[in-house]
Amino acid sequence: MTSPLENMDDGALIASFLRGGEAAFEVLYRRHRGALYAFLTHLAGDSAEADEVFSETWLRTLEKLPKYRDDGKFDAWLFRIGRNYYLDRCRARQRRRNVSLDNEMPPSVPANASSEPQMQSEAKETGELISAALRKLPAEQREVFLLRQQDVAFKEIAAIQRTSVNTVLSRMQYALRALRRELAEIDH
Amino acid sequence: MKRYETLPKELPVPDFLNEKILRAAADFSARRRQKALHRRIVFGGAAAAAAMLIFSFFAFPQRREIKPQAVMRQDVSGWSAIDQESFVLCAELNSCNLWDEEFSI
Repeated sequence: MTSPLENMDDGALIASFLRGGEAAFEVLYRRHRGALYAFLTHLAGDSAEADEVFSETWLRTLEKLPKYRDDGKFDAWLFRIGRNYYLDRCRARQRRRNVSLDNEMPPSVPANASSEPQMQSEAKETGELISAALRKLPAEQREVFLLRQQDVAFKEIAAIQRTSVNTVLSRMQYALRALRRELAEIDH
Repeated sequence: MKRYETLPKELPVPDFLNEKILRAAADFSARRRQKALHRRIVFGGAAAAAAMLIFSFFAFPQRREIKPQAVMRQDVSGWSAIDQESFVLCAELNSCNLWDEEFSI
């Protein structure tokens, strides 16, 4: 039997939490945690980095919740917070090491960063290949692809990346082309 | 199925992260409750103080203002400075209405 909270939309859950309903946050968290974790893991390409960014994203989200304007796009807002924090960390590292952000290649890790013990299915293997191919993309293209994979609208992605929708569409096009090329090479 | 759709859209989150974040949410909620309580105490106290002030204005006799000219009705010119000052002070303390004709020293 589902609780009434499970049927509430994100805005209503947030309002309930801000009025003192702690259980509402738990429902909100469980609803979005898997998608955010997948997005950050594929974005960062490193599970330790993804863990750090994931936890900090939620802590920042908590602090910003009183200012959240309910426009029905909580997930896009959450991804934006995570993505911005990840980029801040990359820039800080870049300042320390003087490495170009676009050329930075995250260390090679399995696509499924949660380290399931068994990894034998074809889909999982393909997922790893795609993940490896993704890591070779420039950061902006990788981001567009991953956000789109989470069903974030192109208009939202443009807002997150602070660019035009046309630029986002171009990046997506380049990303898909590069991925197809990469996977075609692997097949041969 | 398109191949890029085999990239998992969701991944299981490690337990230690779940615990950390839910604990942070509980702390956040507790801090908000405390702030709300503090606000209620401060505003409640201020409202009570304002009410007391208004009440005392009407409930307790007002001290009449000692008008300078009323003080001067009493010829104190021959008095010492200390006596003059004492006279004014006594008048204030007793809330005498010095411009009341019935009053006489």
